[in-house]
Amino acid sequence: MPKRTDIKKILIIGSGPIVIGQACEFDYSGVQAIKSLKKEGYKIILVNSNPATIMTDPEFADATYIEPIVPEIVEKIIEKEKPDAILPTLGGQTALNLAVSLHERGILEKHKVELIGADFKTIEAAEDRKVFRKVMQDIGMDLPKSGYAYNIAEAIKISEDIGFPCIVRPSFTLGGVGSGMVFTKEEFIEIASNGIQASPINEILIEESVLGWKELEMEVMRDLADNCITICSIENFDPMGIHTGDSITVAPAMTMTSKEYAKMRDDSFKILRAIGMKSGGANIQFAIDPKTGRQVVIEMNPRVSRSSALASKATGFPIAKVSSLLAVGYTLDEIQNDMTAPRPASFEPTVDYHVVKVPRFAFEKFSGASQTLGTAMKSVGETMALGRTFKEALQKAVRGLEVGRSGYGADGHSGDAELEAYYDDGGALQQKAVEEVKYKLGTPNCDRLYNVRLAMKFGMSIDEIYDISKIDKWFLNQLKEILEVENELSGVLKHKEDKQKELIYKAKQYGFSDKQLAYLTRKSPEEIRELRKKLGIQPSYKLVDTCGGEFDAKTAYYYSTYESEDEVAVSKNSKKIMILGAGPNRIGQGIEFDYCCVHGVLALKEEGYETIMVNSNPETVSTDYDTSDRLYFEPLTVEDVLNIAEKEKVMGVVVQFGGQTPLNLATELHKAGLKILGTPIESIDLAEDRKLFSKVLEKLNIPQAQSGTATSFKEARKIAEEIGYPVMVRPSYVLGGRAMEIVYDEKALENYISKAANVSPGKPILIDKFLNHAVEVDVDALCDGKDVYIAGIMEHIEEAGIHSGDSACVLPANSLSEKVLNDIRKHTINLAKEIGVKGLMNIQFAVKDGIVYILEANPRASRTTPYVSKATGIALAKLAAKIMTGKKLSELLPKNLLNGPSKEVKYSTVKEVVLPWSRFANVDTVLGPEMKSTGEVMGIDADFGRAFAKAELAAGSLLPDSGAVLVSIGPRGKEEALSIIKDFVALGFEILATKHTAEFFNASGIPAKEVAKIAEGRPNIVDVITNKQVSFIINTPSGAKSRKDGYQIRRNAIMYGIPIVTTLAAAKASVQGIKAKRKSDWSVAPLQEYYKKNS
Amino acid sequence: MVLKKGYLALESGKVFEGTSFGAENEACGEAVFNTSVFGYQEIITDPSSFGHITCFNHPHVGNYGCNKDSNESPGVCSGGIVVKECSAITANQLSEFSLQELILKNNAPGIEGVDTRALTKHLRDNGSLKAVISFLGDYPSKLVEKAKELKIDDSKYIPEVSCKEKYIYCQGDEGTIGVIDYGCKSSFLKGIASKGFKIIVFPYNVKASEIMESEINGLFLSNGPGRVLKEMSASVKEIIEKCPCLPVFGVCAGFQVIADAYGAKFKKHKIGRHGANHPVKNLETGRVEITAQNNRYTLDAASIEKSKDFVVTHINLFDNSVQGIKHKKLPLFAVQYYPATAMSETSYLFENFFGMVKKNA
Repeated sequence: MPKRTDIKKILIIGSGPIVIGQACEFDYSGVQAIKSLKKEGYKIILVNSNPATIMTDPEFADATYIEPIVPEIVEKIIEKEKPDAILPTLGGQTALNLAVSLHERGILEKHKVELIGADFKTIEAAEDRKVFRKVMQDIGMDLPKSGYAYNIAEAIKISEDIGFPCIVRPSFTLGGVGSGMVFTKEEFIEIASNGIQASPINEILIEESVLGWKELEMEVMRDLADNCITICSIENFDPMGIHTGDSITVAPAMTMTSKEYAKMRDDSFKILRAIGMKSGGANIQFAIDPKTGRQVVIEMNPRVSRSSALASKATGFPIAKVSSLLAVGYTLDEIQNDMTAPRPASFEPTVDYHVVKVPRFAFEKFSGASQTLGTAMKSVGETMALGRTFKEALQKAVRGLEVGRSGYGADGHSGDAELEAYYDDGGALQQKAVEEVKYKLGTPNCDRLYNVRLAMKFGMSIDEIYDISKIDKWFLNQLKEILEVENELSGVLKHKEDKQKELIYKAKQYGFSDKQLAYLTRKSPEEIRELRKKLGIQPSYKLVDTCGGEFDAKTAYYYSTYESEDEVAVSKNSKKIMILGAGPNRIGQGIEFDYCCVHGVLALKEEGYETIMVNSNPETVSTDYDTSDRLYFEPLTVEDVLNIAEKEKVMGVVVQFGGQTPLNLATELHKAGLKILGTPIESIDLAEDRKLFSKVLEKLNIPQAQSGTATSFKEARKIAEEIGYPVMVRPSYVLGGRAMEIVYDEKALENYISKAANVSPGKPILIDKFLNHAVEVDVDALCDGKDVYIAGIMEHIEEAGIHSGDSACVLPANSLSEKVLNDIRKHTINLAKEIGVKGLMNIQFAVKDGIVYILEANPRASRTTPYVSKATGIALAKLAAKIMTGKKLSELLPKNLLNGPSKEVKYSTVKEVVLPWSRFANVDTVLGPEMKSTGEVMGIDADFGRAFAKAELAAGSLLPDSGAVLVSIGPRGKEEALSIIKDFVALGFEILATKHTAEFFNASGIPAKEVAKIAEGRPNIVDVITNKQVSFIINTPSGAKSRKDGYQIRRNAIMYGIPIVTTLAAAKASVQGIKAKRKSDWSVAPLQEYYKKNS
Repeated sequence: MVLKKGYLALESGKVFEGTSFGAENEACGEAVFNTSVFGYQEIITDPSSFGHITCFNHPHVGNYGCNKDSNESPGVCSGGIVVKECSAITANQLSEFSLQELILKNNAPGIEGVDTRALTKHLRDNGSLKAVISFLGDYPSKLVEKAKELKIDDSKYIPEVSCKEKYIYCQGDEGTIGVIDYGCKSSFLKGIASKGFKIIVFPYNVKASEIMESEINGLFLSNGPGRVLKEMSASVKEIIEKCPCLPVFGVCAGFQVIADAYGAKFKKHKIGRHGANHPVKNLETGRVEITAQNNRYTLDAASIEKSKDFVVTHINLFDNSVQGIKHKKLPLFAVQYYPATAMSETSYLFENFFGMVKKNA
């Protein structure tokens, strides 16, 4: 069927901010959709609240709305743009949920907009577990036993029929929030009651446990002519019971027979048809009982997903692109497979390599969170690696995870040094160690790979390990084979050269890194590298081509292995630049940096350079095979990067765009003779080395907070006394605010130092004067060595002391005086020039009492680079890339923008963050110097209040229009809060507060109603939250005495979905937002329209 | 454990070194790659693989073991097996024996540690090549010479793998289906039997008269390796002419026999079609089927059109070759790929055939 001509304008819905369970993969799918549909001549309207996405670049869609993805806003967009169709299958669960709301509110019908890809019925059949179950039963699918409950009595009755263990799943929650495995009746009652609360329709599903079964996934597609194909099978290394997002997964499936696979494939197609998936990609999960082979259906996602992004990268088949084309009427056989053109997309990709995905966790950021993996997803990112075998791919994935490991063990990091020591001790301790490791195998956490390793080292057999862990024996055997080679390696250098060569080659085929070999042979990685070269052991690069080599492929997507043939035809082109990506997403380093990398690539291509991308994150746009000229899907380590650089003979490497990851490699790459493009290595050092940096600041006369370095409590106490409390303390080596704390007195300092000693033995503690109640400011700037462009001065809403990545901010700044702004500009310009920045730079300032202090400077792309680019319409990363090739700012921008004020914008933009509190039960939700947010949104409107209200709405908290405000403020903030609370009262809000606060307010003429503290009996502050008697909460952290109350307030607010702010600044902004919203209804406009106002 | 070293030597001069995971002997044949990830047991026991040195390009082979039920014939038909890595353990509840055990029992050599992607690309670019796998200690250069000197006559394959005598495979009351065994996969027989038909299996060189005397209600022309012989198509032609109402369904070699019977020409394909992902378009429905294939010849489209008796029903979308034909008037049709007897988008072919047979019973 040819494409549809009855639709001309298509609205694509993005997935909003990055949250656990929904990351860059939907930017990747959205970009593919927009590109391919635009090429077909459709007008594309996009809505996505996330400014860090590539899809929201104004040059992609015809109209780009950075607006909250909620029905009331999207209806405005529909009214304005009048699209013919909405494509809801590329924006994750967010887009599907929105499509459902639009349908249920009659908006689609009213405006005559059609859902393409999947319609309401399809979404309902797949998402509503009850309907899904019925549909599955009708077509004869086997399912786990189950039942629905709406109250606890019903739930208990069902659980009695099914027996324990069983699983509780609340309906309609994102990524399985609130679901859990239950082993006892007591546990059941707790989880079931919470689940009924968490579900927006107060419904839970209770299911037979398939814990320990094999978990498999099928990535399938269907077109409007009912052709169905499988793109990829995925097998989970981890058994059922661990969310697939938290599981190590492999492609293709390894332990199914061809008949089992044929059945699963056929069942998948039946499911596609029965659910009514009209066109596009879908993901279906199955479980197989390893004892009997019984195959049951678990769930189906009628959309592209994290798994489909993985399947796309794993096979080279662009699922999102093809899904988009299918949605407008093409059939699979009418679409070409880019890799093997002119052959069609109507085939099933096959692979001649193995793919492993490993998730990355951030438990260190959330003290108190349970680290045991379960049915609710907790990981924040993932890395993928390709190798010729599982062993090779796994080891590459582990080092690509960037958690300090160089492979599967043998790198000087023990899984558990204590346990190993116990074991080595022999005797009773040995038994204890074995028991402990058995326990660990049964309660899997992010270290489970190493627990398996330890178990093997302790002499446990594959069968024993399997019985506890339920990790399939095939995988366990592969891990054992890695260990066996490791054992051969320690004596490798004693052998003659040919034997050495044989063993090292084998080790490389098993995925061992040079660092591991160095550790095992007590050499340096550089020495191993030299030895390897001497022995002629070099990686070969192979192509990902969708067809297992059957046809000649036209794309350049490579991975490294150690095999007989290398397929890269290196071009003679001397204008060749390598761009290093950001690796797996983590808190503090996510999609923003992929945005920068992609922009860098695009700009370098514009300048006529051949671009080589290196990255290991399968969710990203940068790892799309048609982003760069050549893509190397490889871990970002010195070894892997150098291998590629030497192979490709690149003129230089860009380390500014991928966050801290490439920056950490820069020194060693530079030492190995690779040219670092842009800001030179000496300049990077100047900014990163505290002492050198301090000298620069002194020279430039830029105020900085007093600071000192201490290696003992005594020293620390002395410094703290000198500079005066409060002080900010942190270990010297950390990133992203890890283990940073604000300390108000000596006792707290002592406490911190004793903890920090564990964090980094022997490493000094950095102590800075903490600027209490200072306004924090972020500046992004460009410098070519001569001129500086100040791209944006962002004023934080939260005060200094809260990590900049967790703070909301506004651009243009709305409360800073012209003098302060001028000082900021002056400092920025002087610093950029003095350091010698060539490219991007980010500086954080704190403003207190009119004085502008510098906090830190980073000569690289920052988290805010995309936000500033979107807010101002000037694509910073592109300009930075061009500067790196030698272009001058004076050639790139109008002269009047240089060395002075930023480009003036005639509207306000607010960046707000989203935090993963709902994922981590029992974790306090207070913000601090350690970054905890996973993503961000942007609100854009005519003034600050409206932009802020939009940003809040986009971040998931709708500012209330009326109701009661619960106020709980520490002693330090009461006075300051008065004006804010007055504003709330003026807007008609009722004020609830605890005794002292209420008395204080009443004495100040503000009517406030008293609510009991928890210890004072009931009803108390928690009851008013759980009864939803309040519509807004202001809770600032206070002394330890009432910390428990504060904690309960904050956790319950999250659970019951009541907007809460934990700083007065945010409360103040909220009042402005509520006021602005009162004045008039929401209005929407695309970026393209805003930019016109500026010109 | 010291693994026995050996070589895969190709007539092109290319040699791959590896270690043994099967019989430590020598085998000759045409090196053929297979892109399927699943189904190694079915592929090497498929009689259509006779004469092949089968190279699996997916690196992990043998993972889920083997079982009796998955054998497509009593033993291994491939001359030798080439893999990157053969799993040391079998990880599936259905496994009864390992791939190593299967090939050892059949005295076939298996070589592992080979860069199977490089091998695949070499075969893709050079066409299938004569090859020797050897663990007998000869120098690679000698093995290359040996490969060069190999005489391959693929018209001898079907007589090798066909049954020697007629036999009754099973009884049934839905009607009787005659199967001419050119190297028939067991799964076809099992699939037909599961629908309640009586099956009589005939050897490849069965006389038309013998089939006609057998009171069958339908005739299935099976798959098989290599080139089909004139005598095979002659006798099938005779049956069709004398019993125009007899439903006849051919697959793979059976497809070639029917086309050949009507004067169509075949050309040997450079590498053949060996895998599980070939898209075939059904021209009657417009639907695309993903098919498993193991065949070496390409039908000359012009020559079948010339016969005027047939319509082309299926086209392979990888190479646009004709892979399905149907007689305009008679209940006679064939496909070159492997249709499924149950499940899968290709099972309708057998279902259609069974319907015709029942009508004719």
